[in-house]
Amino acid sequence: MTDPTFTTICPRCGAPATPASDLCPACLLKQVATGTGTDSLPNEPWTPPAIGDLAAAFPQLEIIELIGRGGMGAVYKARQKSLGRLVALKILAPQHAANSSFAERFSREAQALAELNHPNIVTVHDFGRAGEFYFLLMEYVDGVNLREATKGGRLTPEQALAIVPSICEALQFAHDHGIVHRDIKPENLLLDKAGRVKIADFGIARIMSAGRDPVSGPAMSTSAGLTQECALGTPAYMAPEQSAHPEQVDHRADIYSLGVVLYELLTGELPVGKFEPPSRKVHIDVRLDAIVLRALEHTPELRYQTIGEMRTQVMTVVNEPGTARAGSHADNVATRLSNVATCYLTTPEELATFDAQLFLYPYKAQMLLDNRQLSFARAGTTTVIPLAAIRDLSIGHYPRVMSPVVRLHFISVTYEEGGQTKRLFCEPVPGWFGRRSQFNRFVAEWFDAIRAAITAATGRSPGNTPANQLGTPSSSAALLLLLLLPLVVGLLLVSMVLWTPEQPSPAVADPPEVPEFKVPEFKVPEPRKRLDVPPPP
Amino acid sequence: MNPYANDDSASAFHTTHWTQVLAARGESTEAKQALRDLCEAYYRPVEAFVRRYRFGHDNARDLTHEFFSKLLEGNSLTGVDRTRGRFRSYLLGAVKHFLSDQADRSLAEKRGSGQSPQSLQASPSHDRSGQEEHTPLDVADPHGFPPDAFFDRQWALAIVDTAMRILQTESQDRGETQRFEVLRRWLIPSEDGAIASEAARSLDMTDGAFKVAVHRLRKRFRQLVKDKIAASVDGPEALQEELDYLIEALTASESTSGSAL
Repeated sequence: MTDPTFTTICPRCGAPATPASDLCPACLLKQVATGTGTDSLPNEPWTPPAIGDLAAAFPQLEIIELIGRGGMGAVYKARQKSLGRLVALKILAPQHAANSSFAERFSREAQALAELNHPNIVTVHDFGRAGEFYFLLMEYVDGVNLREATKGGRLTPEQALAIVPSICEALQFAHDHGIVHRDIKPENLLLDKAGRVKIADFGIARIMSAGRDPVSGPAMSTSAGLTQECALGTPAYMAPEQSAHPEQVDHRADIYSLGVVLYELLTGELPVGKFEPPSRKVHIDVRLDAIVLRALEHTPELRYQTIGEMRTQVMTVVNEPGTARAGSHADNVATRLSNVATCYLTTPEELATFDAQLFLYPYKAQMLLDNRQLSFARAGTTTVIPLAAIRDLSIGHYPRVMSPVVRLHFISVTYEEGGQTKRLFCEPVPGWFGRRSQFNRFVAEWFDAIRAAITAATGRSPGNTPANQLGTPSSSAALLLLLLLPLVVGLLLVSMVLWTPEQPSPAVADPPEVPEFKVPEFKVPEPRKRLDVPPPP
Repeated sequence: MNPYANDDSASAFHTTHWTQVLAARGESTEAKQALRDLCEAYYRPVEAFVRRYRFGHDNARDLTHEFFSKLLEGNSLTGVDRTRGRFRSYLLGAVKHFLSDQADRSLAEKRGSGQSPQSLQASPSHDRSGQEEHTPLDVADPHGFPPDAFFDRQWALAIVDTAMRILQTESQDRGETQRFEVLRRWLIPSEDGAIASEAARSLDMTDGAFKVAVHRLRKRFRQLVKDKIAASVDGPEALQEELDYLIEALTASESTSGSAL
């Protein structure tokens, strides 16, 4: 993701956001300035309604007991009188339902959820409003959630791997239907008595975020179009973009959350701060490191792009146990290779200009390659290109006028960003002096390194366009003119000389005359001096 | 390397005061140590400023080093205007002065060194290095500095960042890294009770205990930030003023202050 200027602002205070931090520094300082006045923490947690109150609102149900409660609502075990089946009744916490758009959003989202019919997804039978309660009537799963199942510690890798593929399938199914869970965590992953896993609370986070009232809630910027999309999820499991840009969240946020769950299942710990690959903590197949770490990539582009892809990788580990060597691979994954060089950075458009062809373009940058991204840092901006976003990597030549004898090379990087294809040219330089061949060799080394990094990161190699098809700008007309000018002037001078009446050719042809001509000249000054002296006396 | 990056003293907070430095005119051993601590704490804003000013120069870091070592060894405090009272203003003035000096010197060297001109036949790399050498000409322009707002913003970020690091280190020492990762998000007040109780549950805490933990963390953070600012201003009454100023610096439009970190 490129970050040329800070277009994002903190939705709370309007200050420019700082990419290095997920917490707005201005808000933090304001907290310091306002002091304890702001310490009135969150309202008292919502108290789930009593069974008696619910019975009145749901005459068709026999409410049995409260079986769970969370920030977004409470779940009751109930019996549907007509069918005699057990159901789970979820009552949504009313503070979310305060604003007018909630009802509409709720029914739209719930309808989509009701259409999700998958053996590993908790089925929604009905939804709506009964009295003061917004509710979802769902399949009752007789069992425990993953949090409860792991209360005694972690799962064995085998147990963990047995349930992950099913979760992946269910998520892929939902993603195919355009539904992102947004709140994958152990509490929402249920295990029934047969050992099947079922995902609960699909899309609830999204419904609930619609209910946050922009007026009474934290001051959200209405102009930024963020009013309805607040970060809602469980912090420890939330993808970075979920808190930073809730409006941009897509299915890859679920992939991240599942990565957290998998890490936790395997190690019993959450992957926070600088965490180690799972195999460093517990004795597991090191190939799982790669899977977990990829799912936990900070940048969505670097994660698995579909959860199905992640499932395939997990299945490989399940089906081919013990093929990977311990240690070496984990080290490869854990160590981020990195290369740094000074480079010239330009674009095809810039390179066509007069200034650029005199090497006057000012964009000297530091380029940095690691196993996830290629970045260029220059005057106040950093361009970060995830390796996965690079479509084409080629060697190009500077226009002939810039390097007339031996062509100087540069690296052309074509990449996708925000749905657009962009291209930039960079020339890493080993120093300021040297032969052209040295420069080109350095460029070639970098080219190979970037190419290898892309292949390692994405499993595919980027396109490679021959230099002559790269669309390198032709020589600037102005520059050509500038170079031709001395030639023209020279020709003019020569022709002027040829025009003079004296014939230059005899002078050249009669060299003996020259010494004779010089001799009298030497003699002339001496007599003059002697002549000058006598008159005064 | 940036001494800030492997700053072991992050946990030992800089309680030495700018007033102490000023009072001793930088003469006493304590004042020297105090100045050293202050410089170390604010290395990064200065480096960012130099880097932005002479961007692309590999020696930006060296320049920063040179600046600080000159500042620390030299008797540069004689020219400090006491009425300005803030270490931030002093340091910004000093670094500008230093950079202009540098520019003048390299300009003089360029004119007087009597080196033969470079050949026009030189390779493009020569052309470029030639261009590099022209940059000091631009630097001589007193208006070539990045805006003060940029420096102030970096300064404010450094304060927030240091306080956050200390909080983190303290949590680590107590073996509460995971807890801190969740709690830190609540340093900024939020009014969502639902998320708060979710967060509390993820930490196996009751809502009450969570509330207390957040309260304590905020209190500590406030203390750390205030201590840090207090150490850089002349007198306690300037603290609130400086805090307000830094909030303003962070809130100001990015276009005037440039990029951060």
